[in-house]
Amino acid sequence: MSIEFEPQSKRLLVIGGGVAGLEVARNVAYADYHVYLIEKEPALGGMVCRLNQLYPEGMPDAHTLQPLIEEIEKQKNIEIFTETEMIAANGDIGNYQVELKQKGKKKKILVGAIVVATGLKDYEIEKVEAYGYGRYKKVLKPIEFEEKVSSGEINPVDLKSVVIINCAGSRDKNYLPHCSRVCCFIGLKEAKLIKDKNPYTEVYVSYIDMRSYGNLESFFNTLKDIYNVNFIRGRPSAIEELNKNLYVKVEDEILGDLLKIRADYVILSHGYVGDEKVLSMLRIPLDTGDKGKFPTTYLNSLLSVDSNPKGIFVCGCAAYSKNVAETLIEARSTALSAINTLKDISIRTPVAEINSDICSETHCKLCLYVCPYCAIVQEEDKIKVIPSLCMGCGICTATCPTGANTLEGYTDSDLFHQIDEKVKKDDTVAFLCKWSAYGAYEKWAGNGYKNVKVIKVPCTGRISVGFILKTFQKHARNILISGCYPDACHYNKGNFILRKRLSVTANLIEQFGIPKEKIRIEWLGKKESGRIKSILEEMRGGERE
Amino acid sequence: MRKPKVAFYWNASCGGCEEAVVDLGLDILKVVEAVDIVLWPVALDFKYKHIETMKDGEIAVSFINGAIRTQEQENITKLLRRKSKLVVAFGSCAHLGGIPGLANFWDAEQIFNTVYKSLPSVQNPEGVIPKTNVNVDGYELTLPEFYDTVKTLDQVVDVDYYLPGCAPPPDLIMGALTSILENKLPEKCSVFAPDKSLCDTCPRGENKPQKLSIKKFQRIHMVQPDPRKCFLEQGIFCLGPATRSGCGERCINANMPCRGCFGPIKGTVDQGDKILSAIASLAEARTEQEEKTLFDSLEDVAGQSYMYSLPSSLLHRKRKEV
Amino acid sequence: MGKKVTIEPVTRLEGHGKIEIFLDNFGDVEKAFFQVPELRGFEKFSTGRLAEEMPRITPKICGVCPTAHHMASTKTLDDLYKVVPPTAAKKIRELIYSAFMFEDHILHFFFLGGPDFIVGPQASPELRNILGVIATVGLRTGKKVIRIRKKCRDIITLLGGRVIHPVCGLPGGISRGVSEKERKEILKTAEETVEFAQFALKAFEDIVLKNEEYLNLIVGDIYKHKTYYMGLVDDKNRVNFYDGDIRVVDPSGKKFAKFKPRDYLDHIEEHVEPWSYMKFPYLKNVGWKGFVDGKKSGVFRVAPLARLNAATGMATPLAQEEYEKLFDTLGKPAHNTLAYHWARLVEALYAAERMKELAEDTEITDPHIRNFPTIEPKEGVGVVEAPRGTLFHHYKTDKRGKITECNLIVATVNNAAAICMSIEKAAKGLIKKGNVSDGLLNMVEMAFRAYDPCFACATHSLPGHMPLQVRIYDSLGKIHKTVTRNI
Repeated sequence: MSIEFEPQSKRLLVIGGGVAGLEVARNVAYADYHVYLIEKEPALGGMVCRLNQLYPEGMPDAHTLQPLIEEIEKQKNIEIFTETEMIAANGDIGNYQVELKQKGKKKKILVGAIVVATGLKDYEIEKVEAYGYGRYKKVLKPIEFEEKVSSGEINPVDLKSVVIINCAGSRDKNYLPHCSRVCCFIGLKEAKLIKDKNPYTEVYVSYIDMRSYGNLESFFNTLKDIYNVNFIRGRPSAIEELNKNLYVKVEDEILGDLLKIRADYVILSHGYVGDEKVLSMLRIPLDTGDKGKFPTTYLNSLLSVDSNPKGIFVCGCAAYSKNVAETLIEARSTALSAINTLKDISIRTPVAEINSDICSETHCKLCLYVCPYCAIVQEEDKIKVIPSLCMGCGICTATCPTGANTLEGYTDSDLFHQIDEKVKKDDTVAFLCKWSAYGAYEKWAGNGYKNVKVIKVPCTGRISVGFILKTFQKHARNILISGCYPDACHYNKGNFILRKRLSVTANLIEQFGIPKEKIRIEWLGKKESGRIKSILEEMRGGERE
Repeated sequence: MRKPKVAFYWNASCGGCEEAVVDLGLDILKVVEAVDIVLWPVALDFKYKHIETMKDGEIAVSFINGAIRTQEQENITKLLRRKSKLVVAFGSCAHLGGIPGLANFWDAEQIFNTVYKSLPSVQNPEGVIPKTNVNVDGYELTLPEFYDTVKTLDQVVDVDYYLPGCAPPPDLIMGALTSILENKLPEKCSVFAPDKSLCDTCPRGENKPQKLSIKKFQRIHMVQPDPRKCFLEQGIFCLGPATRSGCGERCINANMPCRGCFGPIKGTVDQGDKILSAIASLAEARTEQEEKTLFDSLEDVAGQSYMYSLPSSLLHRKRKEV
Repeated sequence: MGKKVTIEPVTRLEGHGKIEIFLDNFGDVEKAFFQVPELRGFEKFSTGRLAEEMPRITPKICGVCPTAHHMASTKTLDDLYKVVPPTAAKKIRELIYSAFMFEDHILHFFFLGGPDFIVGPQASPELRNILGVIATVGLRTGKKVIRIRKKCRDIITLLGGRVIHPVCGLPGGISRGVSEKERKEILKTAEETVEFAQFALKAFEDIVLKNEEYLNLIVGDIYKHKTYYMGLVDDKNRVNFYDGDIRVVDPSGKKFAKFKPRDYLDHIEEHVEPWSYMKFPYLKNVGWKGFVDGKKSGVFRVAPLARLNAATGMATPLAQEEYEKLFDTLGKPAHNTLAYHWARLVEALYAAERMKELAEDTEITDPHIRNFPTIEPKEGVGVVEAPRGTLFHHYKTDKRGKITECNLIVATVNNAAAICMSIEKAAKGLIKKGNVSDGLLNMVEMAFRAYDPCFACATHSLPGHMPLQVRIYDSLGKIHKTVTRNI
């Protein structure tokens, strides 16, 4: 099938003018592509420009940010819009119509691909009421503390005691269930910041686990052994104010003591979340599990950076919290992916197609409910497949009750025809998914049985009840359905859906006098040739060629 | 100009299709004027011998309703096919097998044993059952053979067109008659009804939700359905998505779900396949045990899915015990 | 053995009806058989189905009286789940039912059986049909018939979803209610139906009863059987189509039995013959004595005349007047088969009056139309009076409400034995010494048609004839004579 496709634009939109967005813009512009860079604040720089210091050394502005900004401002093919946000986005890869708003004025642009680099978004730590953020003036977020130290509002020389709560509100199913990775060392950074300015301040760091990977391990040990930072393993239960003093209540799990620590300041090293607003606008599915509204990594191939069908990349802390060095490295590889995409914008095939002469559109939309990629959308009164998102699994094709939805090469007519032609009475018919079972079968197929007929499908999710019935109509002896293990389906949930269809088919065929044991379902991986051989031998009753 | 000859005939039918024609009211008179009805057991003169002596193809169109389940029905149907240019399968029974098609879950012996022997009001100690040939006190009597399997019209003869429904609504009947008489025929084997599913015209389709999943199947007598919401959304089995539209949603408007009498949508063959593949995909269950419980709550799945279409389905009938 | 005469009409019961007449050596009728060569097996294929689908499956037994099956089935579900519908639901069901009984009776009288009288059995064949009726009563009346029938069918469509195979019945209620606006519309139609029914009765009186020839036909012996009679009655023993107990009177009119639907098996049994697919119900407590009438034979009759015989009156005033008039003329019980046509019109008037009563009752607009089952189902019986006779539905289910047994005694079938007898009697009375006349065929048909056996056996061909072929074989089996009509 050829989808008529002509990309309308080869320009890139970068959302976010922090270090991630800047680095991406720089690299892409350098490859001669036009970049729109939008930033919602009046100035570029994002989080990094608010920082005084980076771990372990270096002055952010001078070393990292400033040269970057200077270079960008020199580039002729980067258009920068500050105080600008994206308010709507429509279209598809090669043809995104994006609406921007800058200080009340609207502007429309047309781009071919988009990079989301909206940076770190704080978890709303005020939700943890016991910690009193917002109530107590001296309970601060790390960035606030750093800024106040930089500005001179806080002078560590005056501080007698500071408590840093690592993992504040994190890894807690009542608040933020996931780990945000960077907050451990941010807490440590604040400890060092204070100790560097005043070694006599008592610094306490409460923690649950110390996720100090790489160089952080020695950093942690230095703070503990040389800087005399007090590490308390335990999650503080509350912060109280008494006579203008803050008290942190915590149980030291190692020593078994209940402590009540007086503190001049308490720093809450909280977790970070994804930017739901921007990601939803671009219809990027969010992880609904414990990852706090970050984009899913598996779907939409965001994990495999060199094949992004939608042409939307999420980079930096917007994808998942990481430190500046990690951000810069990721930004460079995202830029390369964006460049490759813009160079050759095309649509993956085969994709599902909907025949609007037959489709009942918004009155039915059952296919829309099942697509794992949200590739089927409602646009006014029509239901459409977004070709760039469609992975060709066929789950929607098998769900469609009218036959309006077809998948090239695997239409109902193709598959019914195959069954009609190939299957003879008393055969064993194997429906095998192309990613795993078919590969396993092929490896062994030279020694295969002649009474076994194979029907290849892109995913077991393509199998509808009708193929099973048709196979029994031809008086097959039994049926094998084989595909990837659950949780490992190439299309995320094809095999789960197939299993549900088989569950109802089992009840159905029993009423037709066909024992449900005649359908066998086996999950296996591509390498398991031996296993598929023994399964089929068993199904043939040990009979050989 | 000679008026075209038209025949209306019925096989294993309830007579509802004939009523449907009578319900055309005054419109039917226009048709009656335009044609020469050579056979209509219900209302008009018919001439068996006359049919036999006709030339092949002399009848312009025969409308045949009812499924086929006796020898006699098959014979007369084949006779009419020979003598007609066009044969139209009229109504669900001729089109799909209809409700009598549900007998395909049984065979003749099982049916006879129940109807004539085991039912509580039957007093039949000698186990008498009807026979095709019997001698009663010297009198020779015959009955037509009762088949094991109910067949659709097109499983017995070639059918040119289909008029779906139980019974077909008056507007579709008039539309079909007009098409045929004015010779504005669609392609062969078409169904005289729109190509889309019932959902297309169903008023509840205006309110489809953003997300739809089924956690449990409800039995219609145990719940009061919300008349504005899609039945599937309420866990009530409705064949609408896999059924052709054109009926005016008469059942839906009475707050009862569709049972599929118009048959499958163009290009699809088996309503059970289509509706179950769709519904199963929407089911919500996290474990295999939950799945099983959920689908066990969809009871008599074969009867519900093939209520009108069992003979025309992929499997046609229940496997006979070997 | 003598000769065999085969009458093979093509208009049907549930398929063909076939009549075989055997002559003795003198050419007189020895025996006649009425065979039904059709079976679909509803009693069997309903098993395994969900009970709540039965009101949508059983109407497919008959497309002319689907509403009867729908109601009987719905009532069976009420009994199955021991759930009582709210009063509004009951009234709406009865309203639908009354509209149905009215339009069906009117259809039969004007289009199907009535032409026998209105135009006359001696009239030429081309006139013995609806066209002849219109010629006799006028085109305006003819159109009125079509219109009033359509209006009643529209009511059924409105309340039942569809008119051919309604869908609204549920155990403990119905699926949709009646608005005040709808009630008022229905009331208007109901008032028209009462007027029309009175008109029809007047027409019958003028055209038939005042015509001596017809009157003789009705009271004559050829079409007379002295059988038991069965019908549904209310607590005052008045005819009721929708609900009540079953009352049976003997051939002299004395009460023989009165029982509740649930007890029907104590009173009715079915006999099987190898030459017909249809079974023959009879009264258990009298016994099966063959195809004979009289007090000693368990053969009973149902449908309009039988209902009027089995009851002691009508529940509405105008119908009661007509009821009395009928029995004053014919005596009670009336055994005259052709009087079925008259009784049918009396019932049409009752149905119309009842429809009006229910449409006037504002309670039918109450939104409470469902009570839900609470117990596990096991067994239920539902009985209504279909236009053509008492209709019994009996289901047994498992705990989940799946049908395990389904027993149906379907209206006309109750008359099966009587139909056979009527045909044999008419044949015996008319075929003498091997002379088979054209008139015979008409007269035999009339016996058959009066029962209006669940569809078009009673129909007239528009030009006036049911197609018949009578073959007379000599004792060597060669065809001696063939008398045909419209073949």
